Amino acid sequence: MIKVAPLMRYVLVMFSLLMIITPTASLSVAEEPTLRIALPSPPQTLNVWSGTSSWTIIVLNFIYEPLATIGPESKYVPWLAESWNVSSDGKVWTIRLREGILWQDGKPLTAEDVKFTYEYFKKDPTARRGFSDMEYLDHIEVVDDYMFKMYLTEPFAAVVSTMLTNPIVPKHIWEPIVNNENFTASKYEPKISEVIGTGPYKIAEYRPDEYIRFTANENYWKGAPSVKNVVIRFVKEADTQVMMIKKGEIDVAIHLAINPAVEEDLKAAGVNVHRYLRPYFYHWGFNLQHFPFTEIKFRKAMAYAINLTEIIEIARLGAGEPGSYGIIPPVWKEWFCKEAAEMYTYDPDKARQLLDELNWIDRDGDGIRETPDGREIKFEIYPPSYDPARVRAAEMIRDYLKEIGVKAVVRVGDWKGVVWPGIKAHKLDSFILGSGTEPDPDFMRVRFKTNASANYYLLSDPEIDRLLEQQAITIDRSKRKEIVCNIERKLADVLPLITLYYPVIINPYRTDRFEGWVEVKFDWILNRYTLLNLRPKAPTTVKTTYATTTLTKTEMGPPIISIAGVLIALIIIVLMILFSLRRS
Amino acid sequence: MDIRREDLVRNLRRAGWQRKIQEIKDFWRVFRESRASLFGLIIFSTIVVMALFAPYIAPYDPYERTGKPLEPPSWKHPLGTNDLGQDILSELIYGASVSLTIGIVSAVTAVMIGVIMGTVAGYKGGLVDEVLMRIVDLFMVMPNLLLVIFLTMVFRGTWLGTQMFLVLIIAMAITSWPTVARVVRSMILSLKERPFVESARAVGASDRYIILKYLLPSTAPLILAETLLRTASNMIIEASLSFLGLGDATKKSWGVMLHYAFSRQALVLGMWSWVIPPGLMISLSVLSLLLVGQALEVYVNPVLRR
Amino acid sequence: MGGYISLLVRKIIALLVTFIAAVTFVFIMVRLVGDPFGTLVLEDPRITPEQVEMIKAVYGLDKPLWEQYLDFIINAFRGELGYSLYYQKPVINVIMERLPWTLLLLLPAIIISTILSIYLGMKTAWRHRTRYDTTITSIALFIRSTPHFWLALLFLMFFGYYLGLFPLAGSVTPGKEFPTVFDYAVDVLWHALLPITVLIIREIGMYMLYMRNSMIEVMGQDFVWMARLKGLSEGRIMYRHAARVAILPMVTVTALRFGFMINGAILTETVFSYPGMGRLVFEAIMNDDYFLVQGTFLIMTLTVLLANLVADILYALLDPRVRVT
Repeated sequence: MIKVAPLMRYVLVMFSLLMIITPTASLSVAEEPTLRIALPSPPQTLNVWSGTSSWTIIVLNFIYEPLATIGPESKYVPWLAESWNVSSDGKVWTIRLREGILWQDGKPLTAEDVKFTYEYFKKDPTARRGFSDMEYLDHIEVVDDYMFKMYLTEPFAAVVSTMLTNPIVPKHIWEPIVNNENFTASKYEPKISEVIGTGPYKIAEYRPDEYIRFTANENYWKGAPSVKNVVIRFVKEADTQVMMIKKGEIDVAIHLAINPAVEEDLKAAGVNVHRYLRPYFYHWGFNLQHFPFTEIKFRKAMAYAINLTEIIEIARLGAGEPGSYGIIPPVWKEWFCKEAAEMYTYDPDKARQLLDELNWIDRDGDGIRETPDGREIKFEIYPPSYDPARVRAAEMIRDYLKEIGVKAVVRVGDWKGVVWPGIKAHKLDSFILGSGTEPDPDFMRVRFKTNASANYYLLSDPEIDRLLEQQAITIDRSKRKEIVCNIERKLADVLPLITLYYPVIINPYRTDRFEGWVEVKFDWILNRYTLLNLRPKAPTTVKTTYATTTLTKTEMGPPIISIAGVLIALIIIVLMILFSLRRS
Repeated sequence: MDIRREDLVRNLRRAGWQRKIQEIKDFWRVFRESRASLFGLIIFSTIVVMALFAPYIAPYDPYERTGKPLEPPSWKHPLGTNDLGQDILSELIYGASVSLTIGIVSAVTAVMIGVIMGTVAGYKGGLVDEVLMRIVDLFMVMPNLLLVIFLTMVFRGTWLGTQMFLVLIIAMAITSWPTVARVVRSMILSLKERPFVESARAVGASDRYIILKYLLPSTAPLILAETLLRTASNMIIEASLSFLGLGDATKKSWGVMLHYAFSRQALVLGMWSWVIPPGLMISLSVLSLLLVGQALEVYVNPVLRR
Repeated sequence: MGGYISLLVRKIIALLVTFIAAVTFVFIMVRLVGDPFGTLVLEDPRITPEQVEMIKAVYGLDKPLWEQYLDFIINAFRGELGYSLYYQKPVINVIMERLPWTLLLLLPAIIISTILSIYLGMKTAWRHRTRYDTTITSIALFIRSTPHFWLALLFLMFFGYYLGLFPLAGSVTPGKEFPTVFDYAVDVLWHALLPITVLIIREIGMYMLYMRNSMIEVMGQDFVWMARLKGLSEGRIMYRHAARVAILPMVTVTALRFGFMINGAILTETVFSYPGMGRLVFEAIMNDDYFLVQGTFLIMTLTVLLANLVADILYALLDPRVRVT
């Protein structure tokens, strides 16, 4: 007969023993020159064709490289490409590749790879990373191993920012896969041995939802990186990331939700903080067909009525830069139009004056203005509920407008259920939305052209349409710059939206183990330049004990021992219960 | 014949009344005996008072910025201020009404649906019972938190999307009625066979009359206990949902307070006065509900009384 | 014996009905939550509606609803769960990557908490109304009242951050090479210990009280009285007679416990940044990942239903009072 009580005691003892033993395991973690990074989310997939979430792109950027990238001066610079030329009609681009670049498996990079990559992106709509970028691509003609010509269907000025920034994939690996008749980019899960790029790091180990480990690409064309091991961990909570970086468990934390108020706390703990501007314009968008936004003077009054600096101070806890009325953020130096950015300043009196000029005056003494025919000046603002900063900003706008006799009602709505469908269907009076910008101003074309897919404001201005079309085909940079500045001035004048802020992100990193960090104003600390420049601070004498082989799939789960032990325990207990119960 | 029937019904009714008074007396006796239940009742009443009179008790309006952001506790702000400079103590006091409302309204709705469904199923039996029980089963096999998340997401996609508060209540009511229905059904099933029901039926009392006058009153303590338990578990579910970022960010419940405390790194900043009190308040109110509920359970099930 | 079989058949039919209903329910619900491709234009304003349609067609989402439903049911019986829209690979692969880790947390938690709660529930019931009983019962009640994620965060903060005894995130030390499998196992256990402990504590808070009530009820029954009269020792009565009967009703709360464990898994995995199913399902719902949601729910409901069936059968076999009529 098995006695239950002694067994209980045994289990308790074992459990407490485990509690005592396990902490000592932490001592065996040796100090390694491994760069440890925390990301909030794992990559969706390692498939470079179709992975589009920003975290996927960050991970894949260690492995894959484009022909051109944004330099620290916020201009596009050649990367895998050496140079590019464009024909006078803007339809033929001749691109020369750098010579001597090797894929991580030792084969050379040639123009054939680029041709294969671009043409496949063009072909498969599920290859979402680049499909819509290849809109104007007609075909590619390979001149020699390191030179090719791109023929476009129409002249297009933004070729560099759209097409050339796409990652190049090796033809010799992907061609056989892609030729499989059932192949669809977004249904393919590449094996780790197929994730081969030209980048500074190659993948060594991947545990889904846990971490990804890179080792240096010793044959990297810019010289092997000094930091030989990189581990990216996926830590969802911003809290945990901050704890980890304070304790030195990671070297770089990246999370959009890190509270600016922890900056002082982190600095006191010896952690550096890189503040960078995320080039998104968070704006108060108007529906130009809904009263009172139909009135241009009213929109201008709005611009005078709200205090952008104070909104940032309070809603964003200071982590933001005031928006330009011409949309393009100051970090895109080449295209930023100062004149448009400074078109309005906080001046409630001016706002009141504009409303008075419209003859919108408070006639019944309730503090809200009316039109001459007695219509109240009243509308709704929809911020999405998940973002407290935007909710707060909407509430502040409401309070500012109260001062000038305009009634705004804040409706905090669910993003997916209310705000986004409302924006898409043009049902809302006004809303607060964050949208991406690109270093090339062509992004404005899909946002502000009449009937464009992302023209949520129902803006329809023939002058702006004309200018937008013109900039897209103007190859000459200085001419294009002038046109773009005109667009910005025009947008600031018409005001289909007011950009409230560009968010600033808190990006903590530790400098005690590595040096050579390159801070860029519009990118996180681990940009391509940091990766090239970073080196361990004191050369470590500890020999690296990191596995150089890739774990096979079966080894990735929890150890068989743990599971087997647990299962055996389970069976024993069930048997025991059955056994003892039978006797009664 | 008619006279006899009248008498019988009257007698039965009187007996019912007397029984009820006796029951309440009984209940109070059992209740008073247990210090834990009294303790629970006291805490719960305190929290209810706090919820009702929040505007008079709280030092500030929790939606107003009355201090600098992230102030440590001081005489002016006994629990400090949050990231927007709002007084945490006031948030805590106002939070009682929001959290309790969500918990109680969703529980009462669920219990009402559950009682109707359970009674119908138990009393009618047959196909109705079979269908209702399959529906109950369906809900029982799905983890309830996931189900609430699911329903929340569905309702948020409708016009209710600007009223997240309502969405939560509806979602929790829908997920928690099946348990109630099950309990009520089994109670009705056993009561149905009792002599007093049979005699009432013998004298020709209608189904409605039997259900309203005999069956439901007998299940009253149980239903009350279920309501308390549902309120307790729904309060915890609300907090969990808020933690996962699905709460109503515009209403300051304790769950939402915790959500902001965590997402603004109060733990790392060492702002314990922002993290501990809301959690404790949830624990205390749930505990008090459980204690009172337990006393009811003991009363319903006298074996536990020994 | 024939009675048993007809009972079993009835149970299995009820199970199938519930299963189909649950699967249908999830199929409809996930489509009500949202359109997975509805926000594509937001991420990439250059995308055209035609392209969105083409992408939908790849997943068969352009077909009429009833056809999608039939596809889903037929494929499910063939063991195919489709492709995850977010992770872009077969749903079954996504699940298999996470499932072992969740089991690693849940199995020990279930086993240890069951043993401890039965033990504690038995003891407290036996010493009903003593200080031992009140202390342990109040602690259990308090734990049951505490929001799980809050408790977990306090644990993480205290043991992980302030005392530094446990890692703050993950299921294994990243990229470390382990000389033996044993070292690997120790490392994994070290990472799992804190989440498991939190799960156990929470489970005990729930389960112990059931056991206690069940035991108190049993103790009022005649056979315990008889055993006392026969002069059997208290320990003998408690373990051999009363406890065995009291455990039986515990079997019937299996489904309830399973749901409770999944709730625990979602929150625990979130707090401890642990890879696993709970968090996966939650995010699949948030991402409108139709096929992943369908697949995970299908597997979960099947597990619960089978567990319930086994529990019912066990109960019928073990309890002398349940006899099929």
